[in-house]
Amino acid sequence: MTDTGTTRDTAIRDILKQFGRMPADPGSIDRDADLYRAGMTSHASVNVMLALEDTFDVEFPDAMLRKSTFESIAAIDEALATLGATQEGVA
Amino acid sequence: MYGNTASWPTLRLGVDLQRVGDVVSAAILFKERYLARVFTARELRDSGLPDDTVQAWAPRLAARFAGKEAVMKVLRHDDAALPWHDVEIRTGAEGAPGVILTGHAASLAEDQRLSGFTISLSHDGDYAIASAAAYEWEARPGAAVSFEGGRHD
Repeated sequence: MTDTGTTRDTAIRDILKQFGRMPADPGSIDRDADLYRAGMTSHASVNVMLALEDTFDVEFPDAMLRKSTFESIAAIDEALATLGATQEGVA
Repeated sequence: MYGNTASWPTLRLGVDLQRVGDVVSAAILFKERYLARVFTARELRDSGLPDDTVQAWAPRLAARFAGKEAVMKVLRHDDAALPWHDVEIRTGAEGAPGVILTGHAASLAEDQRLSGFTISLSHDGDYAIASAAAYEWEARPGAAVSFEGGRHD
C-alpha cells in the first residue's frame, strides 16, 4: 500500500468506527472482511458514505451506489481511488 | 388442480426494521445532504417535513427508509446499482402507502417480471418496520390463467 493508500485506510477505519455501528472493531478488521457480515446495516452504510464524501471531498455517483462499493475496507479504498480521493482530503 | 401452473405468480416478500434514532442522528449530522440523497421530495413532504416536529416526522421517515429496503429485498438486486430515489414510498389519497419504481429499480422489476408491488409501514417507539410484496410471474403478467374447470380470465 502507498502512503496515500495507508492514510486512506486509516481514515476509512476511523469513519467506520464512528458511523459503521458494527460490533467488530473496524480498527483491526481485515481489509477484505465483509462489513455487512460484520454487522454494518444499510442505514449505517449511508452514514459511512456521507462521511467518506465529507472527508475526501468526493461524491459517489449513482452508478457506484451498489452493495459491493461499501462491502469491505479494500472495496471502499478502491472506490475512493477511482473517485480520485487523496490524503489531502483527510483532515 | 390448476391446469396451467406456469402462468401463476409466486409471491415475493421483503421486510426491514429501522431504528428511528439512527434516522434522526443522520438528519442532524448530515442535514439536507442526507435527506435529499436518500428521500424524494414527496417522501419528505409525506413525512411532515419541514413543518412537523422531529417527533412526528422521524418515525414516518424511518418507516419509509425501511420501506425502500423492504422493496429492494423484493427486487433481489444483488449488486446492481440502486439509488434510493429509484424506490419511492408514497402516501396515497386514502392514507395507505404505495410504491413507485423508477430508473434501475423499474428495470429490475420488469426484467424479473415483478408486478403488483404492495407495502405496509408501521412504527412504535424507536423502531419502524416495513413489509413489501410483489408478484413474480413466470409467464407474462396478464396472460390467461387456465383452470381445469374451464374458466379463463
